[in-house]
Amino acid sequence: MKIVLLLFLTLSLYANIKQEMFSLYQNEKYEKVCTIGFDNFNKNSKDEEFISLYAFACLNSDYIDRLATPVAMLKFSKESRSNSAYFSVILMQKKLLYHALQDNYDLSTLKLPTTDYVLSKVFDLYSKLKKHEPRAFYLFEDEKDKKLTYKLYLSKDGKLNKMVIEEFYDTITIKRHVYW
Amino acid sequence: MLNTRDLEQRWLRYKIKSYVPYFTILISTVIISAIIYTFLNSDKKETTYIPEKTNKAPTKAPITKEVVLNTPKAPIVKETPEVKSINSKEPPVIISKVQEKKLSNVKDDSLKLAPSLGFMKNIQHATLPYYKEEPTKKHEKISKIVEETQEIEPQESIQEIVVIEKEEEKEEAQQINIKRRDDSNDIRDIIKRFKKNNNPALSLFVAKKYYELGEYHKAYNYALITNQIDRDIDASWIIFTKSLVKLNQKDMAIKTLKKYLESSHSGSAKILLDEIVSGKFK
Repeated sequence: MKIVLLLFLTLSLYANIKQEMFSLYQNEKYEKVCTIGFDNFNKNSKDEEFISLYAFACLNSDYIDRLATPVAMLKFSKESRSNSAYFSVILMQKKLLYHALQDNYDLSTLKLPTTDYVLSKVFDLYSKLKKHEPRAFYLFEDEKDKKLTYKLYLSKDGKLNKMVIEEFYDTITIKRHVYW
Repeated sequence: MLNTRDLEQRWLRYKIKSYVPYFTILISTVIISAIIYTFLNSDKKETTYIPEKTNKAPTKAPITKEVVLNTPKAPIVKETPEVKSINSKEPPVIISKVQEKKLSNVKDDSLKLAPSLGFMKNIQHATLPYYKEEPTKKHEKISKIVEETQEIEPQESIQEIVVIEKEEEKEEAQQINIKRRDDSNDIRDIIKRFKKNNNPALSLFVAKKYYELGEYHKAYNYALITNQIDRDIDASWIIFTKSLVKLNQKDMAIKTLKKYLESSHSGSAKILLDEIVSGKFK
């Protein structure tokens, strides 16, 4: 009897994790959702809703490399496959942009799908530049809103260079994204 | 005389028999859990990487451990927005519009991928309970909330808005619009849940939904309720002021945003204020 009760308890705990993650996501605590999802991923690796929620939380908190696993796991429903493609584009663009900034890799010849995510916007703007000498930083104007600008640069921090994207609105910093 | 040996043997048999049910339960649970475990891990072969090997990493000290695991992290700076002058010795590269236009023609719009967030609706439906009632009763409850907001906000202009809203509600009730009724059913369920747990996320969702539907009076009311529960939700203040603008209360919207900016220094609120003042947001 005790064992059965324990089994029920564990099952309800699993359900609660997803619910907790969802309410946290609604309250825009993306980083926390990403961390909880990361810790409980293996227990819920069959649940595509859980994986999608985890992936979107990680995306919103700029943990882009964590999207690699959801990209591989989301495949059973049409929606999951669509999200998987969406994440994989962002992940690829991040890697390519970092490679371009670090090693002056030419992106102008590439033609990739894009997304509404800030990294994709910057990637598109950067890839429009032809082969050039590396610069200290790049300033891009948003195509839709003139007041919105993106500053892209490499922040040299110890062993690893970090890619930074700053969003400005009328010279006011709105957000700062750091990737490496 | 009693045969103690026989008695002892019988007692032993009785004792062993008494343990039999426990043994069967134990063995069956072991078998069931083994089956469940194998079923859950049946497609492990398909995935090359599962983060369990590293899943102890991020909770306590996510930054340092991630560096070790090469899982990049990118914190969003939540500091108050600062005015920064972007000056540097090297000239910045700003793409000219002519060049942009030429190149943007190359990129097709059909190549744009969008996220699918339908699964969130499923989670919401699965995790939160439904309280189904007759639609007429629900309508009464919505108007009750509207009345509550009247009491909360003593300003005359707002009271007028609420009175107008009631009239409009009656008109809307007479119209038949399938799409709208589906949305309003969802909203009613959420209102029900909100009334139970007073979660500001729910009232904010209702405000957003009403704003999307173009029901700015209701959006205003729910944003107001959200603000009263939690004064620090940016999105709620934005919906609140946007609704005010839509209700031709531009001055009030500007005044409210300015007051909010004094305490919060929110970037998005500043942007909205700018847009309202410049007339970009109407």
